[in-house]
Amino acid sequence: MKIYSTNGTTTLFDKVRASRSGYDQGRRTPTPLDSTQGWKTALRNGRTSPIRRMSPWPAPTGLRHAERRGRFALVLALVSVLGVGAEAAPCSPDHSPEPLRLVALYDGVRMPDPRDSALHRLAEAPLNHLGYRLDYLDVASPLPESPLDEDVAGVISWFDRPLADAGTFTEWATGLRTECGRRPQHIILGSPAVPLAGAISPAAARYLALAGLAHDGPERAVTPYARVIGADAAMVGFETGFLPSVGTQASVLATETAVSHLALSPTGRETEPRIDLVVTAATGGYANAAAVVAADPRLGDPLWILNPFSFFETILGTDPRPAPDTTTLTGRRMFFATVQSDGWLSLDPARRLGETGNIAATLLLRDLVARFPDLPVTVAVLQGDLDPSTAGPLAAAGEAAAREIFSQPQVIPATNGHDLVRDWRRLHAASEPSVSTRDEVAGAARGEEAALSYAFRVLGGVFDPHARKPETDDARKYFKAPFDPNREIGGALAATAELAETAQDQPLFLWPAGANPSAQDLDLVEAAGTIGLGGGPVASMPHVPHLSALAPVSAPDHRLVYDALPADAAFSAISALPVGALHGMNQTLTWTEEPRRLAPFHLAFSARSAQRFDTRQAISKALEIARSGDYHVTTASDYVRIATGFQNMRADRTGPKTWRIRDRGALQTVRLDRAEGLAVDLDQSDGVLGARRRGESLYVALDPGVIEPVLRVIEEDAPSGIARGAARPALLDSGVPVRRAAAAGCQTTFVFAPRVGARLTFQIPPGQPLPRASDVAPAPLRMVEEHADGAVTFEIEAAPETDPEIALTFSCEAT
Amino acid sequence: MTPVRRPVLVFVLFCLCAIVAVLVLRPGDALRREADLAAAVPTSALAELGGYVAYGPDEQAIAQMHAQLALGAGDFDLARNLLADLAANFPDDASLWDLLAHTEIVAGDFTTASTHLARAYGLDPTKPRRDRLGLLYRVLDRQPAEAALLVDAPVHELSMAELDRAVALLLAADRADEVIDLYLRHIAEGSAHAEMIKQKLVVFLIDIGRSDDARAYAISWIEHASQGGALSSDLVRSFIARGAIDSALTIAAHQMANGSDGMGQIVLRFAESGHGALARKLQSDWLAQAEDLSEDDWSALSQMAARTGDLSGLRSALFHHQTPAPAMLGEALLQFLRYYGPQALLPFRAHMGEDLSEAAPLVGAGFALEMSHPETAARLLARAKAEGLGPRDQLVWQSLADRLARQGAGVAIGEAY
Repeated sequence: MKIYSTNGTTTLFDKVRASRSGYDQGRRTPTPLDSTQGWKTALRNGRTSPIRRMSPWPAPTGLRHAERRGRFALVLALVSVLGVGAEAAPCSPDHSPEPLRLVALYDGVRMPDPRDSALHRLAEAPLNHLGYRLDYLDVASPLPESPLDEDVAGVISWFDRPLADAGTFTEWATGLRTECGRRPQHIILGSPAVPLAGAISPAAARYLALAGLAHDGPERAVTPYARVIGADAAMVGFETGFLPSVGTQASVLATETAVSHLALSPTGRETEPRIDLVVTAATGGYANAAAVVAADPRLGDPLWILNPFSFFETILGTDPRPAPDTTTLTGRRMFFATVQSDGWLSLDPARRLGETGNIAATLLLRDLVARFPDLPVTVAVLQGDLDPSTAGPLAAAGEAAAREIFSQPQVIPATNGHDLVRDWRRLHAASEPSVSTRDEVAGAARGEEAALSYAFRVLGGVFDPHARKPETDDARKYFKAPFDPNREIGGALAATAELAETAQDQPLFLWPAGANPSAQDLDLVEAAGTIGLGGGPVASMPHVPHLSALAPVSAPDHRLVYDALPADAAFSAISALPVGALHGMNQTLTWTEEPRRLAPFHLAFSARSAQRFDTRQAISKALEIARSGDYHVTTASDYVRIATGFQNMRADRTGPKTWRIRDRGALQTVRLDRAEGLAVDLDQSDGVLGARRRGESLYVALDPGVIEPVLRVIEEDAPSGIARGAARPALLDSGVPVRRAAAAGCQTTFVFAPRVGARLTFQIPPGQPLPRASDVAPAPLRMVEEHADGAVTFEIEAAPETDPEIALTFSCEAT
Repeated sequence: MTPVRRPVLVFVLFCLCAIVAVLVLRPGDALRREADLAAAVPTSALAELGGYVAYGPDEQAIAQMHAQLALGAGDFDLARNLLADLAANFPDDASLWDLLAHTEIVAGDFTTASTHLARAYGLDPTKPRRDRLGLLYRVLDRQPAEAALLVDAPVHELSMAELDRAVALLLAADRADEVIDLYLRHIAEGSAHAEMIKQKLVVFLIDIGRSDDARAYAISWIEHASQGGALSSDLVRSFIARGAIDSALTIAAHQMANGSDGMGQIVLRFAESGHGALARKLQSDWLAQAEDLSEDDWSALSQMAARTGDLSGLRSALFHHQTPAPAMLGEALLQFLRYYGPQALLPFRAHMGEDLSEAAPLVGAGFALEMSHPETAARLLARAKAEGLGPRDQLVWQSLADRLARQGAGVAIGEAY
């Protein structure tokens, strides 16, 4: 039985409450939110942040303060992963959760903040694409003994050297089991945690064997005559080729049952034993540090040598299963736009004597906001820019422009704070005790490691060749007042809300790239009743396609959702680049779409880009593409909610090729890869709107009105992705949010948001009549194309002035 | 001519000259158009310029402006055509080839971009151009072109990362001999990284089985180096790392026979790499014949003692060589204190004094304790703590503080803490 909205006014809060309080199938549920119906109402009614309520780790009240400490949030994540307090998992292969989570190991002594780890910066984005969520565990802390949740697929590490206590670690790792006794996959990138220079312990040997490795004696010299003697082109040479480098290498070989994908002859002599650098096995896999990525200072970011998709899929499995997808809505790539305040007051130079130039914000309004009233955009202001005491005489013009921009109906207000803190971690560190004081306190307990640990935390990724750093050294734009997180976040949000009196939505907090806010900073955003976006790693020069330019979906504690694509600043990473560089964002759009859709189209730019002709043109063109292309236009806040759903979603197998999707929040798309021969069995599914095939993937659109949809696929090579013979119509794609679908008798009604010009395509069962004018209410739809395969495309001709929804009813028989 | 007429005539003449000057100096049509376009809003300027035009020789500035506007507007075809015309007219202008390359990069055609950028680099080989071109070659997997670019780059401009990349590319192409030539050229032409390159070449030669050449080069470099000591210890480390112990010993012997510069560090290199017996023998031979010890030598001796616990070299040096500066002396005596306690300082009582306590308060405190001066010891312990203690010093400090407490110096111990 489906669950449909009764009044269309309920909120995400209600939905989450419903899922928490035992609401299940058979109950009517709220309508989920979309860009036009905010959760602001809920917040104004005194409800707390939706994000907190959607947290996968609902901590007991007594833990709440501790949870607010960032690292403890990670522990709570692990408590969740490790199955503490979880209900017993069913252990039948046909009735168990799909393993969609990975325990990500990091060495807290070397890298106290997992945000700096190579796992997070490099490996997490491709893993996220494959549908995996990473829960971080510091192996320098006491290791938990509980069994893992059944939905944990494996354990992944990317250490840069062996662990100090490798013995304890290997004993723990080799003993890991899930609740049903399954051994998780072990993925080792970089150093395998155990010293391999000499003899190794039996536990270490068992641990290596899990990754398909056998120790083959002491380290070996790699000479200039070293040669690659076996390279799997599907696994190695993804963005750049592998070249042997002179030095020493751990002597390891693939076990008899494992497969070597890259082997090296360290001396070039055939009689000498080889060294295996990339190995996969039934129980895990290994990739040597030299074969994962290659740093290139000319680019800034590293290039992948290893094909991470092939590697992870080979180890974690390739059977089609629903992976949470943050790139697509109703069959189309998502589009949303955010504007950072940088350059808000920047003056356009006068072209003639006596002429007064415009500030960038005015040009932003005129050319990039007002001209696109149909494209929602989240615009951030910096309160310091609007304050004459900090920004000077231009502040008044800046404030007037802000008010005017926020009065536009498609604009969602946001702020960057008051002073534009570019690196929150650095500012917090500056107020921490000095190194010597800290060392005194910690020295007795941990000796040299304390100082080392502190140095790593303060200096971040300085020691790491893959580390990316912000371009600027200025911690803040304005220094007039002392650093005050409350003023910077709560104060700025409140002031922005005042500026945006007529806006429907609560202001968002947009973090600049590289902001690295702490858990306490995120608490302040939540306390203000809103959500944030951004703050992730700084990407460099995305003209050159490279996977490491893409950030993971969110920060390690899953509380901060990052920008989905690099912002405009990244396109000018090389200062000497001439005019027109920002047009290169089209290349980013292309390589993140083909051959895999790796990210939604997030148009992230700054007010400064409205000022220059070429950057303004590039943004304008991007907006035109979003308007006219095959995109689903949405908002930044919707994306944040979808990304949050990504971190929580579970897919429980309930039968052969059948899954119940749980805890997905606002996430509305699941993707099945390698699904060429599969199609959605609409009649046996529940809460599925339709599907769209793209390459070898099948994007399945879920009904936002159903809390726990059931998806069933069958083996059928239907071009549309919908199995033939379905009794009801299916949505193939839509440029507007479909809020729910209702089936009554032989009628099916789709309810969607109105946007003039938007198109929706349905697959209609053979023989079923097309809807008549009276089947659409209240605004008219125009049929623009009747496809040969039975699909029909409609276009919204007009938007109702008062009603926020359009309903389209398909009848199964002509009347 | 009347007096009245003359000024009028002069005035008329002046006006005529002015008119002629205005006419002669009047900007040409192209220049005026250029000025108007520059002052116009870019969208209007682009609209006025329209589509592709084959510009005449006196309109090149307008052509360039048009190309820039087209590029800014994202009209790559128009920009490409205009820039191609310009580049044909001014083939030696590297900036035009840069712009063409940039246009292709933004348009996503890296292959054509690399051709244009190579042209620009050929005309004006700057580092930013080389970086961009090298990266394009890498992304396009054009290894021979990338190798050639890096190998031929001016020595003083090449970073170590670029040099390492060049070497890796040469080796992948079985061109090991060229690696040696490349390293030697960088050394000969005074690369900023020459010292590091020397070590790399030594390692490389050993790896390809030419240890004799490696040793010969090493001795030659040391002989000609202004700071042969530092270089020799670095090279010794390289030889040891590759297992060429004989060569490392040869370097050590060479240094001992030639003034012993850097011998302290050489000994330390042997000790660090697990060759303790060789290190002790070398140290003994060196100290037996050395006349003066540098600060670096004293530091190395202290490090050697701290690492191995073998204080014989340090003891010999303290008894038979000139006393070092207080800081070095303090560091040396600290090793005695650390391994054998305050009583081990007694043989060195002649060195004890205010200067030493000032430079090494822990040593001073140890000696004061041994001499039963708890107040002095407490004061120096407090100072040592205030100045900051490393993890090992912390243990020494704690041990001295415990002994102070055992001596019953209640008031004094309070001061120490």
